[in-house]
Amino acid sequence: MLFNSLGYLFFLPIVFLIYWFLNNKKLEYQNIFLLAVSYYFYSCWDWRFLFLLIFSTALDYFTAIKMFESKTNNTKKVWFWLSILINLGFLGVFKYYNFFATSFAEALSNIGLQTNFWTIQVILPIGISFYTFHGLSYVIDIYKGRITPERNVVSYSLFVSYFPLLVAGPIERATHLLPQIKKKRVFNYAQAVDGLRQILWGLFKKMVIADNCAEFANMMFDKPDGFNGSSLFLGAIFFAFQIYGDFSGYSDIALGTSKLLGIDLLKNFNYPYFSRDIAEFWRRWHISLSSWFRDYLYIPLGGSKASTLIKIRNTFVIFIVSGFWHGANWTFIFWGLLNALYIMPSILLKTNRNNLEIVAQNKLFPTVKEGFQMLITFGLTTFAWIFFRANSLTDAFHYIDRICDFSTLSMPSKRPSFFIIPLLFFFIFIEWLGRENDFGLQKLGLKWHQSVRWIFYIVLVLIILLLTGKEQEFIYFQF
Amino acid sequence: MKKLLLKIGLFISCILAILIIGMGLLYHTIDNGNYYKLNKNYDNLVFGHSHTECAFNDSLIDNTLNLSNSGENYFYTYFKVKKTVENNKVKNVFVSFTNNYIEYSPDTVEIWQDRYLDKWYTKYGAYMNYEDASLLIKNNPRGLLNVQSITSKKYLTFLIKNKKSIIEDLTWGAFRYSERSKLDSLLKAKEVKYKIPSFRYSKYGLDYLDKIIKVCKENNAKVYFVRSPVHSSWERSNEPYFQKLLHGRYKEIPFLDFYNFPLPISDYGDRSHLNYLGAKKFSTFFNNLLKKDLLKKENAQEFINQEMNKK
Repeated sequence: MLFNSLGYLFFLPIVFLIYWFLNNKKLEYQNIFLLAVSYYFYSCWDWRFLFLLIFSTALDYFTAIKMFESKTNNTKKVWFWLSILINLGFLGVFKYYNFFATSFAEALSNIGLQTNFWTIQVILPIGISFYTFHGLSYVIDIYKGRITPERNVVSYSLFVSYFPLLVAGPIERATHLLPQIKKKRVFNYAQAVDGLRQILWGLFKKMVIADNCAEFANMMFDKPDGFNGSSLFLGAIFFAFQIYGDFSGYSDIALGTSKLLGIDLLKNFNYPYFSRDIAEFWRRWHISLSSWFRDYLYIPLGGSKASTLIKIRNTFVIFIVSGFWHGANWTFIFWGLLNALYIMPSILLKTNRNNLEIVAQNKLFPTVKEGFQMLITFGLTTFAWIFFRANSLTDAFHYIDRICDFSTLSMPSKRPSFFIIPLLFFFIFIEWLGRENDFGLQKLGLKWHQSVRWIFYIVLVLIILLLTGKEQEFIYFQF
Repeated sequence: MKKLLLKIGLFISCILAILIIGMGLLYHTIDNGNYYKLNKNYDNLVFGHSHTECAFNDSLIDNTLNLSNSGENYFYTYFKVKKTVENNKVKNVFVSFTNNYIEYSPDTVEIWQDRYLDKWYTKYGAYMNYEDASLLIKNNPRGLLNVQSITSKKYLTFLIKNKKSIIEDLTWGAFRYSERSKLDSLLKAKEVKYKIPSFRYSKYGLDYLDKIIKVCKENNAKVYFVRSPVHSSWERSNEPYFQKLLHGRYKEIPFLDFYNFPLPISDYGDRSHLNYLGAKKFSTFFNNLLKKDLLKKENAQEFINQEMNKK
């Protein structure tokens, strides 16, 4: 069930009404209900993978308790590694096995050895990377003694399977979500309205911006030879907006849905395209994943407090692993590598924490310098997205080769739909105005007369309904 | 909570009211606008699916326009025929009538499945009355709802761009110049034996074919059924049912059968479609037949057979 589908349009109000009706009963009933609808939500894709999700949940639930109750450090370690290896084992088999098998076979054939590795023909269980990381963070936190294990099986299962974040994040932490699950929720009108507004903005980002940009970007990336350099250049920019609209739109709908249920989720995006350098971009893009890697990989490896060489190594490790997390393809690894190279100067010069606040805070316009920095950062990011989007490294280099052509100086041979450019400007304008808030639309128009505000929202809904692009699956579902 | 539910209810009601009124106006404007004039007066129009689309190269046939579109069921062709013959002075309408379009299966697939709604409803949605739309509502309400936005977007774009002809702008159909030449390899390949389900006549398709005939009659356009050339290996085990229709339900409609039109294998794209070479030969031949007053002959098929035998 997609967040932007008709099915979800019926699913959410039903869940909302029953959920708050149960609020008068016991908290336990409410959580059982949420867990049941979360499993239903997941099984709408493929009910068979529900067993994998339940197994993964049960594994972490039991190993966490066993770890906590271990009398010796060695026993604790055994339970810890059992959980880690099985979790990563599932991820490895479903997501990475074919990649390793074919890459290894290719490498062997390059030195003259012909091998025929067995590959598995199975679809990737949706959201596996997300819920595995949920479980891993929980197990690691228990192992490190940061938290105590959750004994209530419903609460823990809901922490892993809570439907707004189940298939594409944000990747939650037990310290943040579990206390909210265990506490009685009180209906808050302001929070619910804020949630609805966030859902509306998320739908706009996904259905209008991302899906319309996708039509043009797909055309360019699928057949780059059919178009001139300037069209391909435009295609890369459109993909940058597609992936942002798609993923941050999804996150907005997830966060908004959760607010309707009285639960706050971690913020996943914080206006990344207004970043002035790559380090700032990575503090603002897919925040829950970046912070996961920071806390569970970068810092344990020594983080930024070690020697320069170790810092360089850690940066490369974290970006390459992050790229690999996205998918089993060399394109993602190269994308990670490229980002590591981008960020390296600021790591070495220790300027990576220069821009902690949002650009042009309390001002309407940025300075010329800031505008230039944002453009450069956006350009570098867009260039890296070419590798992320391409089907193979060869395709990516071919695409870039076609852009580095004199035809880039001419008018595009293929132009996007005439209405998408004004919509993109509108989108950037609203995001810019709301950049100091949790999401673009959050505080916009709150001081307007109610009728004007309603007209604005109605226009937004009409734009979503009428100008939506051809429905595309959320990009991050594949991860 | 009550306050929130009330506000949501009011908000949704506003949206629904605006949508219903807005889309009603939009569809009405498209339906009643002056967008259906052809760029010149054609005596003959060709309608149908991929068979006629690939066979009738209208640049080689005098005063003829091919508006066929591959995979288009009679259900949708009806709206195209209706708008075209009502707004233009057309003498003859050639409608593709082939073995594969008399069966029930295209009804269930090509009328209301999502991808066909995407393809056809977005062109002809504005012309449907309640009876037409109810068939889609009954069989795929979700798909129909989904396709409204893209349909509105297409119509809005058309109006905003101030285009003159929907027929041209929304590509209602044309001759397809096909460079395919796969028949040779298809014949060499091991033949796949399909399990043929028991025969069942098309219901909705043929009902709308009746409507096509009716609307042409009302606008003084004479309807001819045509079966364009297909290779002898093409599956047509339903021929007895086909003939039964021709001699029963459609006995009043002249049938021009080019099934046996002699062509080498290289002129076919596949078993049932001509490529550009075959289309060139067939269209030239068809043009000559028209010049020889084919449409005035008492027994047109006999004349066609005689002319084909001369080749």
